[in-house]
Amino acid sequence: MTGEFPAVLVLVVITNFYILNTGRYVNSVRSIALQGCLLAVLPLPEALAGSPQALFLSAGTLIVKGILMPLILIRVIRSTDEFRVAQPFLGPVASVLVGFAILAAAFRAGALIPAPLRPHDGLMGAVGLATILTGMLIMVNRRKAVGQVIGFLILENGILILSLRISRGLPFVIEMAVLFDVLLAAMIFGGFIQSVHETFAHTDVSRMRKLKG
Amino acid sequence: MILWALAAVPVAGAILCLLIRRRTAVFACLIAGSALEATIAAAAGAVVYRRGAIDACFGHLALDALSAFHLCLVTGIFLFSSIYARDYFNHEPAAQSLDDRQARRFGALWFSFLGSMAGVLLFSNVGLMWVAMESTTLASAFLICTHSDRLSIEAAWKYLIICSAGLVLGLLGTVFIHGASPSPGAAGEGALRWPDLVARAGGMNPALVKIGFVLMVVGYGTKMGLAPMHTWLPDAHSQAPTPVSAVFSGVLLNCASYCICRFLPIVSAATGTPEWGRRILVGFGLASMAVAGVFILIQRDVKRLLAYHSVEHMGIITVGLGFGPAGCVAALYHTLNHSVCKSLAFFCAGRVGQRYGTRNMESISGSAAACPVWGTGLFASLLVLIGCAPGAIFMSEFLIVRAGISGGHFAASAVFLAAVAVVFCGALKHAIDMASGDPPARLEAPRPETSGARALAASMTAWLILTGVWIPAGLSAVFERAARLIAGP
Repeated sequence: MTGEFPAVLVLVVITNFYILNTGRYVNSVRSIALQGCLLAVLPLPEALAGSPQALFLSAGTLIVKGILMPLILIRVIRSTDEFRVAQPFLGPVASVLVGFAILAAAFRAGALIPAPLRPHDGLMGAVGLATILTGMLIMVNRRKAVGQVIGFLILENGILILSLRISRGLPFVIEMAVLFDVLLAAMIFGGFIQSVHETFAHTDVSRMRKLKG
Repeated sequence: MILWALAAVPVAGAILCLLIRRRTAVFACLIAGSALEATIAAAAGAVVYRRGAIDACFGHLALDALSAFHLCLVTGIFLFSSIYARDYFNHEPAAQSLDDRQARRFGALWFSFLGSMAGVLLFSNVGLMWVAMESTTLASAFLICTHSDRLSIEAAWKYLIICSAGLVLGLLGTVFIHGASPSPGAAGEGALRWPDLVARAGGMNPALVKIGFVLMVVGYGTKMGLAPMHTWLPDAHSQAPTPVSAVFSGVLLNCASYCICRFLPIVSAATGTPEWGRRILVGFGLASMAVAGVFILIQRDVKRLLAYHSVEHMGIITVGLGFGPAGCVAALYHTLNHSVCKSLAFFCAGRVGQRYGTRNMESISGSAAACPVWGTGLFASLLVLIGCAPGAIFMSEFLIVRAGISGGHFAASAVFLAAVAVVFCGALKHAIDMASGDPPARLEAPRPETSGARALAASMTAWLILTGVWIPAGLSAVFERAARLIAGP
């Protein structure tokens, strides 16, 4: 919908790196909340130009991604008592290095997206791609269930940013439906992590390997 | 109006299930609700057959030949599974039987699952179609772990995380297709309505459409169980309660293949040639068949065996879609056959497993003697499933190969036949070993089957053999009309 916020996009990249580096899930969730608020800023210029739909979208993103989802995740972390990122497959330093490689690759690949460019579009495509890849990296690099969910939510944020670059955002009805769906997903994931915790007494999904072949 | 009714019945059913107190009433409600939904779907299908596509709600809800076919199949299999579910849970060992609260939850999730699948088929807007597809994952995850033991929770977690992450790529694909339009913003809210997308497809940016379609095949392919994204499927199918496995395998996978079908005409129009998209489908389809063939040979668990058969048959359907118009007709025919046959096979395997107290095929012998209805049904459905003549699946596989050869896809047809042959030999041995021999002495005397169960097994088997030798003219007209929407005239 708009590409007038290079500062917002840079902040999104910084939150990505912070989540890659941090050893505490609560900090990751706080950064996710910040990322949600940043995404809520993106439709604002259009809202100020008099589009009520963009205003709704901004408010919806703020409420769902900035407030509700982080609250759900914090509750899950407290109730399952899993505060620390335990033994990721890549350590924090290596993760950040891979993060830089991802960012460089995203700038190269983002420039290849064939579509009419507006100011800051290159930055937006690159940040979207980098966020998607960072989300994937976090999903495979966390052993605890909640870490994988955090990766999934970052991945979803990346798709939202990239959709702004590629098509000026999806139609309003779909954006709202996707937002609702993601909220539902966060609730189901949260409920699920709690039943994993009750049954296994831990939420280390890399140790769930009974089913094979 | 009829489309609103189709959307409303599952919602009403889910709410009703939460309000009912007793377990028996919940199961009665499941059967009544899915019977009502199936009746309305059949009526809607008849309207579409007579008068062509119908829509409602500014074109956001729509039903055409392709979605009407899938909708009738989904609601029909759901009805069968609801009838079976009551029988199945009545025969569960006491430790695993559902109490009133669990039954309420099961009923509500069952209807939400039905509703979200109906949503996938009813939304003509491909964005909302994606949302409905993602909701099927959310609604069904807790169905897998109806009995919350360690294995089923592990399976459900894998299902939830792999399918969510996979499907999100489908959303990204939708974004790319949306962005490929000359001026995506200008089309407004209707920009992603399927008929409009097809109409505008000729002017789309081919590079973006190609990226979008690959993401789409990977995304929806995850949900469909195409290799190498199929890893969640055997776990989820084997750990879920059997009525749920039957619905997963019988119709959930079809819904994902339906989503891919919707994008085929867009890709052919945008790239200017139908071949590009078809080649990708043939590649993924053959890979799935090969992977499934290997795992079928080494399988011990009967439900996992059936799950790998799903991977194989989804591969067959995908190859069929890639073989052009004649292949699409055959693929739709195969979709119908696979759904009926696989749900029958799961019904039988579930009850045989309950009788023997295990799903390990090495411990199951003489099942045709030990439980006549389900043991014989399992043997018959496995034979049809691997493509014995004159079963329906033999016929549809034959038609797919014929479409491949007449379309000049010789190498692909050869790989197809080789994979089918491997599966045939591997699974035939399992089928004979389970059905023949003497039943172990420890089994107690069988309880008599209800007449409903007998009728269910007998009618499904009869249908599979009947449609192998004779396809009613109306049915083949349905396949042809639906295939025209996928592959063009």
